[in-house]
Amino acid sequence: MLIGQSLEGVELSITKERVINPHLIPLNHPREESQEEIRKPKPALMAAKPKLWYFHGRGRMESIRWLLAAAGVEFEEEFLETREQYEKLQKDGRLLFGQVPLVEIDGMELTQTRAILSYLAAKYNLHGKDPKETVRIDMYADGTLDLMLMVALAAFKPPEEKEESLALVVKKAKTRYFPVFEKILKDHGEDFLVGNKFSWADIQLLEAILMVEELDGSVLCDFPLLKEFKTRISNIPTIKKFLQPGSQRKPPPDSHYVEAVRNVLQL
Amino acid sequence: MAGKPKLHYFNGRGRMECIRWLLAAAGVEFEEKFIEQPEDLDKLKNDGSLMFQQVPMVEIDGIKLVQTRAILNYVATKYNLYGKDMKERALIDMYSEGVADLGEMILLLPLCPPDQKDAKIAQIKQSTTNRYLPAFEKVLKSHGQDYLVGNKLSKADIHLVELLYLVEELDPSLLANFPLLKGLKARVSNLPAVKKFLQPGSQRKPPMDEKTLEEAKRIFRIK
Repeated sequence: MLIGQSLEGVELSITKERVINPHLIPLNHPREESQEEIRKPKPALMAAKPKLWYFHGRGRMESIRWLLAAAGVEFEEEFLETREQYEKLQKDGRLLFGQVPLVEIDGMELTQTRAILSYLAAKYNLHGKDPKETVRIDMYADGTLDLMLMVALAAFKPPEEKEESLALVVKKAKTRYFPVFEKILKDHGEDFLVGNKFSWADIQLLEAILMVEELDGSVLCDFPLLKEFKTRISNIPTIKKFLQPGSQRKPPPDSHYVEAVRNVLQL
Repeated sequence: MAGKPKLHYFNGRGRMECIRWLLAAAGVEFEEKFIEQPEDLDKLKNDGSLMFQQVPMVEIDGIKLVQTRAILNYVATKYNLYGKDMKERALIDMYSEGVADLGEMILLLPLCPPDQKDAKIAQIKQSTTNRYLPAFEKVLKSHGQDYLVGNKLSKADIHLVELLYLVEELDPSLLANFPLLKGLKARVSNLPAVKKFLQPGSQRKPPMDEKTLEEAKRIFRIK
């Protein structure tokens, strides 16, 4: 079994007839691991770092980088810079729907941003303690992800439409999303959005706040609790580290990035 | 919470249909409160029922859930249609997201300007036969099992079969070269709960026609 053979603690290598059906891999790793267990030295099976395949910019991969970084997980990145690299990934059958993001993790080749995010959130105990907490986290995360994807897509629009899209993002943030989160924090008075515990929802909200602030620095002026939230979450050691220069956090999209993506995807 | 789930949406497929399919396939009876006027939607917004001022909204287990994916994942978890562990769930999510991507293109087709429609349809058909259906056919081929993940019915199968019906409505010939998908469609369609849902008189909604489109535009204030 090709994928089974590649699990022996060595870097996943690209083999010709890759079978995309990882549920044939023996599922012998613990279902849920505590944060302590995750940080313990592991048998070779789980030693490989997650590997991210994407363009050299934010796009749809940024929320994944944030989640891994916040969870204190080291990860590797392969940047798609040429059409040839992309075609090779496709030809090797590693992209289920021919698209990136692609994350190699735990012997799987996962694509589809939300599938990857959910898996990581669950794996690193950032997805709530029961279905009711999980659904709240999902509702909040879906909302903020929608907002951030609008920003990511705006970069590819002609200048006038781009301005319009970004203005709409700020408007939606101020009138639709941020008031909701301000109210949530106000109603329970706790430090985190769900269950009095740090979760994926908090990471995404911080990422969204920072992204919208890049568009309009005054966006939090009516949201005192979100201001405190921003400071508090930014000071979490793993996140503080990620926010420093030299981390794997990517800058806002510029014309170089857009050109590079268009080139690779032949848009 | 003994009450049935209550779905708030307009009387059409839209973004609620996949939720109807999932509940129906899980054998869960549900109620529907149809939004018929813009004022009905305003009322829901004003009484704080819609977290982000949007529908779909589903009242279930004492919570008012919004965001289609959040709702689907909650329902799938509750009714054991989400695999047996994290890795199966990841595959189910990956497949479901692919279905959602193609489904979204088909969903938005009625809103496409008339002069762009033919090109859009051609693009959808191409994506269907070159990207999405081959991917799912390959998954089924790779393990030879009856269902996409873990040899057991999951939300991924239900979403995919719903999509196959949509594809068929668009152009039946699109399914021609995908025997395993045809097999999955037949198999899932024959499950008692799904069979019932596919019969006339169920809560399944018909394809959008001009009248329903106008109604939706009016309710959601889309120009």
